[in-house]
Amino acid sequence: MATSHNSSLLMASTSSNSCNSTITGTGSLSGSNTTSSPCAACKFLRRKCQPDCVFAPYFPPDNPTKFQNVHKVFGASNVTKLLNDLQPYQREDAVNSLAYEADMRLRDPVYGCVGVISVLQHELRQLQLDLLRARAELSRYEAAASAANLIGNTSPGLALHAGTGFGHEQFFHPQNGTHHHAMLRGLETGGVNGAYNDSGLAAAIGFGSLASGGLQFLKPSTAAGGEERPSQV
Amino acid sequence: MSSSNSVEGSYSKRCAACKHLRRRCAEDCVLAPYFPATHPERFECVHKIFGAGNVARMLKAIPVQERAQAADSLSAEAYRRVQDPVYGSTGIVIQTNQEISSTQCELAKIRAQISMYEAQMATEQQPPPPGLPQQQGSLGSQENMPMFEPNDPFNFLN
Repeated sequence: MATSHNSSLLMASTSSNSCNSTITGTGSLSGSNTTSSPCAACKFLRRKCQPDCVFAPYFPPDNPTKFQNVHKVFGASNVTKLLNDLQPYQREDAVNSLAYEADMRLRDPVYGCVGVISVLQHELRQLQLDLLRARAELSRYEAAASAANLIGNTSPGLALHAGTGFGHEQFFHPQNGTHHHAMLRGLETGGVNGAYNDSGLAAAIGFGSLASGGLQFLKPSTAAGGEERPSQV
Repeated sequence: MSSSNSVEGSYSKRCAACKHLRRRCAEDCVLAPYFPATHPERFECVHKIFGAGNVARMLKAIPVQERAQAADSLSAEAYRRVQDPVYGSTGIVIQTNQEISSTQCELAKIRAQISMYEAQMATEQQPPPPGLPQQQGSLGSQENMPMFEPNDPFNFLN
């Protein structure tokens, strides 16, 4: 269930405004700088966009804000060094993650992306507490149902629910935890199937957070000076 | 000697940033409070990712009372980017989002199960309407359902 849910998440098309235009196939290395206008980076830097411009595949001219943000926070030379240290297939995701972090830093100059992480982790902790409480409550119901069955109370409905009717084992199977770790390990080593998923990054970031250029349940600007100071991550 | 000592003394008071950049550390150096010489790796990380000039500019644009937090968050982001050059801190955002999604799914499933138990219990605890034969606490059990006779639907009134 978690696998299908995550894969559908990666296939979603939501993304942040700053990442949006680069996810839809402009990541090819053939580039568009030979005959068309210079890339957004070279336009901003007022230089000739060379055929082997490292920025051209990732900063199309129709989205100047993306490069402006990245340049403001990281600097063009630092981004060049970062990209040159990566394999070509890794660069699009790297640029998109840099653009995201730059966008977050400009929205929240004090906490930046760290503020977003803090908000998310807080939400996750709350959900995990809710889950613990819900499991405890479910256990009480199941115990009551089991006791009723033992007493001999003929209640086929409860008996059905108590053990097998609704996939009880799969919800409490210990492998659920290891499955999540496997997904995270896969992400750390490069994507769901061991390879970087170019289109997955912005979708994964955008899920529940940056859709429509907004922050549906993330409000990093409120983290700065908000009621909760984010912990050091 | 004294002049060289004073020079050496001023050099030894340089912050990690000015030491790394091999420049004199001014008294109003914006980076000095947040990048002490005792932790040179912290500044090296930040400098590698953001650049000293960008960091100084960003800190100057922030009120003084918030600069320490900003320096800490910049250091954290730089460190994560060094550890994971492709995703950096964004990788943590992605991971956490995925954990949130899966936890929400699991919570929804368990709450659905609880709702079914509650619905069943509510049905069992409802007293039977007057006149109907009492059920033995079972639900959906065919053999305990009252048998309505189609020719005498009001038999229970007797």
